[in-house]
Amino acid sequence: MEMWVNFGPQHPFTHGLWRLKVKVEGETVVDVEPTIGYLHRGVEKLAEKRSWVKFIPYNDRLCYVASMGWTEGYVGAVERLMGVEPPERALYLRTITSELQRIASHFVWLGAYSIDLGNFTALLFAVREREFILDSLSRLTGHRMTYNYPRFGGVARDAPNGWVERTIRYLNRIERKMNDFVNLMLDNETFLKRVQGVGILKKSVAKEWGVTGPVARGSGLKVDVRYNDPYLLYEEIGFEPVVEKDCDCFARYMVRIREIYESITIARELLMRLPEGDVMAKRVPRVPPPGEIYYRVEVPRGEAGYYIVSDGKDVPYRVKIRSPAYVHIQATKAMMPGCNVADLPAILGSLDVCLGDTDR
Amino acid sequence: MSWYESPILQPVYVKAMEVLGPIIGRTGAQLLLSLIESILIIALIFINVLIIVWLERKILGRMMNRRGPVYAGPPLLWGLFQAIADFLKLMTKEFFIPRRADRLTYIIGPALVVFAGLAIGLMVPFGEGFVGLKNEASLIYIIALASLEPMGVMLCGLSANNKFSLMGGMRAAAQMISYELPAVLVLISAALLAGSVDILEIAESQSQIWYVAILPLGALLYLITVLAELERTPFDIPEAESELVAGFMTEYGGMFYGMLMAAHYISVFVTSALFVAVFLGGYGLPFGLNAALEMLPPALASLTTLLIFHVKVYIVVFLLIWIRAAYFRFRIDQLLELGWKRLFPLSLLNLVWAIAALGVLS
Repeated sequence: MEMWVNFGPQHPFTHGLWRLKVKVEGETVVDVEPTIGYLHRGVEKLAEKRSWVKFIPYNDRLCYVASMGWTEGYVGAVERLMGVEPPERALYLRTITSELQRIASHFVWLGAYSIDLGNFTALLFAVREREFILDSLSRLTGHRMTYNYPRFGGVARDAPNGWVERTIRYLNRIERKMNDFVNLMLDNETFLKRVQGVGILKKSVAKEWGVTGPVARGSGLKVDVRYNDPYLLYEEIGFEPVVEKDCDCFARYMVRIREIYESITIARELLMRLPEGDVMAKRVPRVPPPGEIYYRVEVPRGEAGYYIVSDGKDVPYRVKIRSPAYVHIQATKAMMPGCNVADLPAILGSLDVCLGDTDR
Repeated sequence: MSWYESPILQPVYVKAMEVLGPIIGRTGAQLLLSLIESILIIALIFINVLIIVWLERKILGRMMNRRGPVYAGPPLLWGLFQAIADFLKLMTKEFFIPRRADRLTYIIGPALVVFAGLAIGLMVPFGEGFVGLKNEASLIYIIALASLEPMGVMLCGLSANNKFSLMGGMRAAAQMISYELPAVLVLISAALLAGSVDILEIAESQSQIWYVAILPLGALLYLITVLAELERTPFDIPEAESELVAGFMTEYGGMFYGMLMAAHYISVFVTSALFVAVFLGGYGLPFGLNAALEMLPPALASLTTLLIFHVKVYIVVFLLIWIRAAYFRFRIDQLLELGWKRLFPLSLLNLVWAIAALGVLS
């Protein structure tokens, strides 16, 4: 007997406010139909009513788990329109905070994923480690989640005394504590049984659907804005993306786990080499000259793009935001039909969608 | 009736019969006393449920690097009364039946689940003399009632007219069928060794060596089937939170939900008690140490056996909580595969092992 079941808008598996219509036959999924739009706040339209600088905090609220990366995208795009080059120390701080944000975001994903698969312990371990990152970021920026830290031509404020040493200490601790997850998940047969060979997204299919970020890298595609189109300091440090070839949920899991290690290494290295100097460019115009730009950054979920048009007025003419999760939610249609109902959370969790930036 | 055979309650019984006998007649007095006895059994189970709920929250909390409940309750046992607070809250909630639900089965479902757990408790030997009902076929009675509980779960799922509940109910049914057989086969192997299907005799026949030493495979298999029967992690498939919201419990609220939760912990206690009775020597000590107990005054010895029994039960409960903290949820097809392809053949092997052991021992 076939029937349609609504997973969402209010459902523990949706990770946000959206709906997955699932056609099931017994325990087998025949078809899925993702529906979004429940969290639409009109951010792109709001941009056209705010001055350039006043729109920065809205980017923090696009994806509340990874604010820093999104703000970096908007600020970086406008900086290029303005032709402003931030001083080196600011670039370092922005790269470091981006990577710290990536670690925090991946920990949220890690915890949510373990609940999806029926274990509560890893969530609390993940949130515990994430708290150290949030502590470090709040010491730097004054906020725990929506930082409003990058500014046109630099950053809002310089690092306080002792912040560098403290953050390095935190990163060392987190690296050590990653063993908890290895013990709890990688050495756990019940976990591996749920993720290995589930939610296959072949390399060619992944290309067709246009997925980015860890989902694409889990399918063996070497797609990473930090590598393909380096921004900030990623070219200097010779960044190499993490790629796994298995195409299943486990590959995507491994990509994110390895990215946590990689981000820890990058952040620690940059913290040790953090140069002295100003954190704000000397002269920053209030309004960019007329022109347009597409600028992309790698947020923890994939490629975040900003297409910005300026007509020289004090508000943007158009801000178009490209969300990675928007593409990933569509890609459920390529991965879910034919799987088991219990695989739905496993697959969806491995995509790590965020509805804040999908609906905008 | 039988609790009054214990040295502690015997004088009470005699006295009560003396006083009540002339007033309401001998039969009436016996009926009244049996009623009181069943209330005592239920009270014992519920006190244990309270402690298990508290222990689960506290131990799970500690394993997860958090503290669990901290406010309700006496000093040093913080959070002990949290379950009572929850109970009161659930009691005061609206009595709610969904409009399209099948009203009769919707109510019967939770009642059946609670009943099955409590009815098993009637036959479990809690201590020397503390057996609600002595019967030569009590193991068969327990097996029958243990399969009644998933039936209640299935009724809950089918009656609520909710797709998630329905899927949860069907999963419960599939789970029940694939786990009944190995569980029964393992219990039979223990009954074979004891030469009886009386749970009391099985417990008492382990005065020299516990069956967990003779049938280690059987004990392991039974622990796994216990997990499946209790619908606990890693087999909490009928109520799989992430895909089925709350499974068969989705449409239940207020005291109905409270009953289902209480039933779960009643089953945890009773099934652990059963595990103790069948594999860990019931309320006795191994290596013939029970003789030492006989040197104590009878009332004290009886209390000691009660204590020994509870210590063993809580060891099993701790194991269940530990497993919950460490494992992920199986998928329903993996569970069926495990049930039929692994546990069933292994339980047959265990039966053969038991027969061989019987030959060696006798």
